[in-house]
Amino acid sequence: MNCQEAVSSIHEYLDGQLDRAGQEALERHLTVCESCRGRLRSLEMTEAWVRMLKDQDAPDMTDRIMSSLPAARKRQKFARWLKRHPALVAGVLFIVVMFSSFATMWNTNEVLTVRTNEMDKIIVEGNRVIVPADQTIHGDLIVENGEIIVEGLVTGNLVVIDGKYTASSANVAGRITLVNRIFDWLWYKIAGLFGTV
Amino acid sequence: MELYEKKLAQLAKNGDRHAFRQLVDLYQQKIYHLAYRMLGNIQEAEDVVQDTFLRVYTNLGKYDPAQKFSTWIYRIGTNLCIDLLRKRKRKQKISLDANLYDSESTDGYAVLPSDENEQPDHRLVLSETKRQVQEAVDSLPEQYKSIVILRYLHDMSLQEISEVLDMPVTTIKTRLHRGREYLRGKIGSLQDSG
Repeated sequence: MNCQEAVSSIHEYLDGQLDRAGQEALERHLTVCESCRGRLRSLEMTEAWVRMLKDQDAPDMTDRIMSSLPAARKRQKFARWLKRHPALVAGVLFIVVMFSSFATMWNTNEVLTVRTNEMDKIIVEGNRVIVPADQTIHGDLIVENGEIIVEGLVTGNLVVIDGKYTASSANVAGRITLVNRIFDWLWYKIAGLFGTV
Repeated sequence: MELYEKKLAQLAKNGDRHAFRQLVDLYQQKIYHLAYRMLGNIQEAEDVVQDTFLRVYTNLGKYDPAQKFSTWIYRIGTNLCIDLLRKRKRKQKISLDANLYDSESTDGYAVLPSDENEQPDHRLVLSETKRQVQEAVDSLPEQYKSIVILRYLHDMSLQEISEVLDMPVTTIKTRLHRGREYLRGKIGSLQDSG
């Protein structure tokens, strides 16, 4: 082992990483080389000096640190909870969306709505719909949110949603259907999909 | 202890401030000592401690529990110190350039500006020897300084240091060896005057 290798070994040794064989080889070199012995000594002293810098006193900064933190993160806590329950959130959102679309469909109507193919024969006064005595409506007549008075004739069905009617089987050839509740209405809409009311 | 700290970090991540306070208690002294040795003055050391914990707090979401908590917080603290040291160097360089062109500085001795708050504060060091040792460590370039401090004052293994500084172990080794030789040159022959 030459001095250059020895110096390298000395540093490995100080790192605590010199294996048994390396230590023995280094020892052999050091017995015959005073300069490397001196080097090892002064390096060990250097380490000791540096370790001496270890401090004992440090100010207690706990309160200062804690009060410098941003305020309690309630919003973040909630946001994190949302992130951790994606299926639940998705399910709730789904239900909310479905119900609100039902609700909008349901609510669109505080408004009087009349559906018929022959609007020109109908008289509307306020929220009252009148089929005059001399008129005949061919097809279905649907009235929402209003009162319907049939003085003439309706050849199809009369559907009254959230309203009232004055008519009889003498005036209406088809069926008269009164829809007052949301479930009735739902049923009505669903049944309508299949073409029967 | 490692597992305990990870548990605290997890709790703190979920908003438990008391758990975070315990982490502060565990690490404030260590980070303070690290910063004080790196920067040499109390004011900056305290600032680094505060900044370190603030960063830990706001980045708890990014803490990877596979890593030791100590590695993570030491990394944050060390990087803050290194940034400050570089800033200090830049400021000194700028002022130095300014002085060179300043016709008012006539005596030729004006070299570096002295900003009391930013220069190493050696008055608190007890003995002359300790002061010389501190000065020698101060004169190391940042990367060598942080390795020496983490190794000798925080008893970190080479592996831990490489994780804190995010550098390969071989680089850490080389710099530690060079740092040692450099310091040996400066203080290897000091006698303790007691």
